[in-house]
Amino acid sequence: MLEIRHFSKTYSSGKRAVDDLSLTVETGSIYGFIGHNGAGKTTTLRSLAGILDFEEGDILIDGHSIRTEPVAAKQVTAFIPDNPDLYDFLTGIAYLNFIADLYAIPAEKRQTLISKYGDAFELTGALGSPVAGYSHGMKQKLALISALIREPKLLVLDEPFVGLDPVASHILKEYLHELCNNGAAVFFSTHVLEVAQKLCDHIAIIRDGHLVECGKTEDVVGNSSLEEVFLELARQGGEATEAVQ
Amino acid sequence: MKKFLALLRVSFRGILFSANPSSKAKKKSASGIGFLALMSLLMLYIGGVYSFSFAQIFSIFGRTDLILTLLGLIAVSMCFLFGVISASGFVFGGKDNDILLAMPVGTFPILLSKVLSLYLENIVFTLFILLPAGGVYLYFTGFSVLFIPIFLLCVLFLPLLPSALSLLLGFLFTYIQSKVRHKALINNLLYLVFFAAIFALSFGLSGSMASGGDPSIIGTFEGATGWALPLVWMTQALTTHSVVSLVLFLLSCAAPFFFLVWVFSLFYKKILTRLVSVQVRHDYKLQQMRGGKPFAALYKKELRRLFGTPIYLMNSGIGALMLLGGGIYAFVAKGKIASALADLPGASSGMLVAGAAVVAFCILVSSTTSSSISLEGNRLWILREAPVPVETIFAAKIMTNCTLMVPAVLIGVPFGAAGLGLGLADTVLLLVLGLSCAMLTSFGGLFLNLMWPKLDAVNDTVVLKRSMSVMILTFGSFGLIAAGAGLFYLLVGPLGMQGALWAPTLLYAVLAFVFFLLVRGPGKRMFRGLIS
Repeated sequence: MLEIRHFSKTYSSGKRAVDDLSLTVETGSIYGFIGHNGAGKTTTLRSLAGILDFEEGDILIDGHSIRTEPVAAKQVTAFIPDNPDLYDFLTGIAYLNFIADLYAIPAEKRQTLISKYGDAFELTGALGSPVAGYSHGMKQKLALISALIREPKLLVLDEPFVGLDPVASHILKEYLHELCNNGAAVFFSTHVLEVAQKLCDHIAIIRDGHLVECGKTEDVVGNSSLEEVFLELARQGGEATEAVQ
Repeated sequence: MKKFLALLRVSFRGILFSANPSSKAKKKSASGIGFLALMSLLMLYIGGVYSFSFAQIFSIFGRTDLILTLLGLIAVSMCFLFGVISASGFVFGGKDNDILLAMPVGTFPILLSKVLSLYLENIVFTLFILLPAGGVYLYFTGFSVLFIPIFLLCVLFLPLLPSALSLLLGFLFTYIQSKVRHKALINNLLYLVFFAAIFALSFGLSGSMASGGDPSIIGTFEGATGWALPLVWMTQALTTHSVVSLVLFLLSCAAPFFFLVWVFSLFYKKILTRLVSVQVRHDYKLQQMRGGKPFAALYKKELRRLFGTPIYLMNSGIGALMLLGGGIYAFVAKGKIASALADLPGASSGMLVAGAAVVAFCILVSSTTSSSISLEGNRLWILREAPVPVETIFAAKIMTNCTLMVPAVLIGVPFGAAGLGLGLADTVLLLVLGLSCAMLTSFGGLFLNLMWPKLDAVNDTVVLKRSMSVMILTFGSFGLIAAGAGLFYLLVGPLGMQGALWAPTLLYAVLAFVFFLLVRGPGKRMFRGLIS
């Protein structure tokens, strides 16, 4: 579903945020993407969502290159950033309708899906109010509903559990499984390693823009915990940096 | 004191260095200073034009001193005009309020630092408006050493008045907005009334200037400004060097300023709490939905932003509103205009040129597209992620500008032309001119905003009042009008009035086409390269 081929991203400041990253996310997979702050996670996610331009490598979504066929690739993708800023001047329902129009979701279908996800996240009653009055968690839920009603083949999430209450987190995890069971794939970043270990069937770890570990969760973790693996890799990275210096 | 100075520094930097999106401090500082320089030039121009024009009239009656009162009034009005919107945005709508209120600093220094940053900006504008007035006064009456220190004190204290007034009115606007249900509509109406009052005052001044050497102008002027006691005291202090007048002037400026800041500081937290409390209802029931096309969705979204953000509508639609209002007024006052033209020999032949200048000015001076990319801010990801071609996103933004400008041209021009007694060929010329200008600002504004996007602004006011693309469009329009006027004067001899006016019309149409090509080509690449 998602194929990242030798992807690199260098910002105009000269900072190389990601260097030669390659990985594949298969259909039906929930893929966790972890790394320390500034490792290159958000840059990767924003690039594959078509938000950031890049010059090196390619990213294919359902066979469409995000560089050369952006509209086709975006049509099957849904992306939610870590802190989703939405249009404050729209009501919740107007925002969902706006997104549904952009993704050409038929009226009847959007009604069914908004009702389904709005009720599940307990947001339907607030959809008539302007987004300006929403709390951070409500905005997060609205952004998630706007992603789920698209029935994406690839769902890309940047820190999706930040700001969600425990019930909403639980519901989201259920829907991620439902999506994957229906033939989609999920690729998300998180700092909550316990969630990543329990939820993901695949894990990739990125450090200073380089992919340092990836594969099936049980293979990456082995007999220890993901936290231990992550800390060990971080230690190795620190030692390597010191040695170079 | 240290805390207060730190707050003041941050507030002033926020206003001054907000024009450019670049993270490079030097570039930011340069653009901030560039903005101040542009505004100062504008003020200097206004001050110079009014000072010289009125000094010639007032000096006939030995009342050159009145230009000081007049320019003082203009300085207060201009600072007030810019300050009201800034006060709503910076003082009551800043995103930094949470951080500042959580700090171990009282509300008085916080509010004072914010209002003083407006005041510092007003000092610059006041200086450049009063400077020509002072120069002209000394030129007509002779040099006086005492004039200089009193003049400097006036420049320092006079801006306190519009700063206080801006604070008061900015609060009232924001407060009313927070209390009513149709807040955008009410705020749009409030701003409309406010701008109408300012323009009426400006037209009144221009009218009295046109009355030339009529001696009654002095009495009329004194009657019109007599209520503005601080300005009367300022003039007395400058011309007679009266200590009593000077003290009265200084007190009348400083006392209301600090009193208002103190009073507002007592309720500042309460006011902000009320302003940010947007009620969320939980009784919404899903209704029958209708699907739409991506372009329609984007266009509706742009319209909602335009009509739901009063400062956006007022900033980018003021020219269209002026053209519409002016055109209809000219039609209604047709009889008056006809009799006035009959009294002035040769005036009716100049009506076409005057009409063309008004149409070009009203449409060129403002545009929704010059800020529509910047206004996306942190929401840009929504458009970037959507499976919609960049052309569709651009088309929705351009259509929004046309929605405001084209009806203003199509309605305002025929009404105005009929009011001025122009024929069919002249009306068609003005219509084509207006539409060329509308296309130029639509494509040109969008391209300028792609060149200088401001995606990290703390609020919409910063984008609409301070961003580089908006400033360049506004000041660039003066250049375009000057270029059009130059072409007209070059060609009016061989081509006649109507023929010569087709030259700037074609110039604007060609420029619109050039910007259309730029938006379609490099513009798309620039949009893809934006990082919010």
